[in-house]
Amino acid sequence: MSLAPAPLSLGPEDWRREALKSRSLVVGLCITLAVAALALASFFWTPYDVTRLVVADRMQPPSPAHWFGTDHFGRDIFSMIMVGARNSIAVALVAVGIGAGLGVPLGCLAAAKGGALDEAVMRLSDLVFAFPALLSAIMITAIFGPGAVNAIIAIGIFNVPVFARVARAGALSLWPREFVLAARTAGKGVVRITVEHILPNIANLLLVQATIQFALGILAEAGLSYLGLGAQPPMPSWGRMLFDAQTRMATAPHMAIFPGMAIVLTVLGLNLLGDGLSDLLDPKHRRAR
Amino acid sequence: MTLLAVENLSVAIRDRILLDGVGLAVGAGETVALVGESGSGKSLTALAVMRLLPGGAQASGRIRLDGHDLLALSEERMCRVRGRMVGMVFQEPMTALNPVKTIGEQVAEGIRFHLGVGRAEAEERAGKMLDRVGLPAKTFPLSRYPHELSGGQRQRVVTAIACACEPKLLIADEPTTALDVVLQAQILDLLRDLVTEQRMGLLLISHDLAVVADMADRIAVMREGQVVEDGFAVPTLTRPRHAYTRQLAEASMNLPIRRQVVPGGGPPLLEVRNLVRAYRGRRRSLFSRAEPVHAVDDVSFAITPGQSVALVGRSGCGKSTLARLVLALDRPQAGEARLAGESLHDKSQSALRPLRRNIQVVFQDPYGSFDPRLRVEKLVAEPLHLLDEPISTARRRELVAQALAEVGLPADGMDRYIHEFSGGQRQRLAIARAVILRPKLLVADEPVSALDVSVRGQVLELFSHLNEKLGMAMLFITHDLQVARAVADEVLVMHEGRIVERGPVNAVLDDPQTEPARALVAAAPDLAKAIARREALQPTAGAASVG
Repeated sequence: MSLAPAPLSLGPEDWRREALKSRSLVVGLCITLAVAALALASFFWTPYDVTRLVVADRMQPPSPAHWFGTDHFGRDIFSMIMVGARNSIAVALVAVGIGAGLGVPLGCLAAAKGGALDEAVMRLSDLVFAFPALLSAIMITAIFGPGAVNAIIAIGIFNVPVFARVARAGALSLWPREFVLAARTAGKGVVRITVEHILPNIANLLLVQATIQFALGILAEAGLSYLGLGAQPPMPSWGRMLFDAQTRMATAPHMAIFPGMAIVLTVLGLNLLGDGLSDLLDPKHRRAR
Repeated sequence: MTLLAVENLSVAIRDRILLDGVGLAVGAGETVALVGESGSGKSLTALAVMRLLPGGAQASGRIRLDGHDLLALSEERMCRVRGRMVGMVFQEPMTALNPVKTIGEQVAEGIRFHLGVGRAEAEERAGKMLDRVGLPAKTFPLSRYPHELSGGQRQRVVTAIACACEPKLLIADEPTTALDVVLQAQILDLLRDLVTEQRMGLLLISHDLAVVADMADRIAVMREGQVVEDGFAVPTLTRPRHAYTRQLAEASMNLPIRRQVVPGGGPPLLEVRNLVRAYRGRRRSLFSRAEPVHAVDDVSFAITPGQSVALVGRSGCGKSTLARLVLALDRPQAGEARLAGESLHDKSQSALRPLRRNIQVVFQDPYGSFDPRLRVEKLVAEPLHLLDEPISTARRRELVAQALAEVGLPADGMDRYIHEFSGGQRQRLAIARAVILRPKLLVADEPVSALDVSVRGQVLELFSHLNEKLGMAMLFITHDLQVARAVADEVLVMHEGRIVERGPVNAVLDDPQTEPARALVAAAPDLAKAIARREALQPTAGAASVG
């Protein structure tokens, strides 16, 4: 008996072709990779040392020597943005990690066990949702002291219920499916079925959610450090740079424009990437395009 | 007079040709059936007539409806055609209705839009239409929501929506496939009456030749996007000219015949005693207590080793709930089920493992019963998890290859993904997964109802073969009596949670004693009988010219 060719099978080449057709995916991926590359490069090389103050060069407009100009201490803004990217990405990445690391298992467990446990997890996440995330993050950092670590924890906590809900919703739709029933008749337990069947099938949902939370994390970090509650000087951060620029907008607008652009571009890139990914992973969108 | 004329219709998406030169004609008051297996282009033809093709599809050719060239109409004019001139009944009544609107609103919607009448008049007409389809306002007020209706009632609402504006053409795309046989007969009767009353043309799409033989004046057989044969119904089915039509007719009429009959008696393999499974019902008022709904109500039966038992009944009668109880996927409120003397319901999941080795399952949906992200090797090997000691990869591959060979699939299939297989092949894979551990009992829940007729026979043959060769007992759940005859020694008829009749398959089905069993037997479509009935009605039809 010959095996019929599948009409809608997607091999690796098909994925690549589909991915390249999605403009938002390609643009989003390029921006995200560029920001990540700058952040990585800053570990080995920046045009200038960001901790060295050269008062003679303060508040210079963009020039061949300083592409994005200098700040009120004479530091090179391009170098600061590179190092700041590192900080923003690290905070957002760990915050997403905390959210997914706690939220996904909780959501999967709630879907698998149902009943009182499900109820408890969901009401608890309602409770967290009831507080405005950024305000609460400000409160947490205000109580426990400013700094990158506390910012990470504060942002991360509010990611937990987001991931728990997405994971639960996805898992709930899979548990009554026949392939899961078949796994249960094969004697597999809740954890094993979740790892083998549920997680791979909700991975796309989680991936898309992660890019969105990542963008929100970068915004939140910028917000916190703008208020002086994030990374502390001399460590440059985008939010802090905006704060410093605020009073000098009239004399040195470039000090606000470039860090602002960095935030906008990174968030835009991540949002485009998330959009593109959800289109790519959703067969209905794929056909409609 | 020709109402709908489809000439040389071709549809392509990118460079894939889906319909290739389809020609079709439906006259006023005439029923034309479009038959063929899944993927042959039946539904696509209907969607092309409605101009509802999926994005990216290119249609060429001509579709004329009552003098209008449909492919040339603007989208705005087309909106006036849909619903007003052509009504459509879809397959799945669960998803064809808007869950947040009442049935009255949904029927009245089209009337208001197309006929431009006021709300009150539209609702009055909607009421009349619902009354006509068998949902009188007394018991089914317009203010009901779809979820308050059963599947058959919803399909009546869908039919009422389609016929509300008295369209000239009604397209019914597998209108009864999601319903059980009794409801199927009712909906088909309704369609037939409406067509006669309103002198509509009916384009009936179906994969079931028995349904078609009862309903259609003419038949068009489709295969791979082409109409391979068309003509008057009876001659086309009794003296097909095209080999494919012959093959379809034969597959519909000849199911494998049960060879071995295992006598009951002896120590039972599976013993079910007074099993009860109830779900919490809806409260009628704030203070009254919710009445429990008994899905399985005091059911007892036994299966001896090697015996094949069919469980038949209408949809919603509790067949699948019973299967879940027997598979220890659910716990009963009362009663017990024992496999080889050991209870299935008083054990922890780990203590159940030795029992699970001896009871495996094949589900209905060949598309939903496999994880799309794993290779066949892993999928078929899943029950090996029940072995006490882990086995080596080489041994696992050996066992999978053996199981694949048993169901007639090549061993190299194990490195592929599930989407690379057709429906029939997937069902073979499901069987391979179920038999890899050589269980003593196989539970099959409607395993062939989602398959095309030509594949159905082969899969039933395979079940019989495995039953004989491996000595596996089977609990075979089906709503199709022919299927029950083909695979089972004994039959249990289930109705509203209870088993109302039982006995040897042929005895029960030839001479049913209880009302539910009689209703099932009477409503079951049978191609041979349908043709005989038609020939008796119009003895000259066979001699009419075929065009």
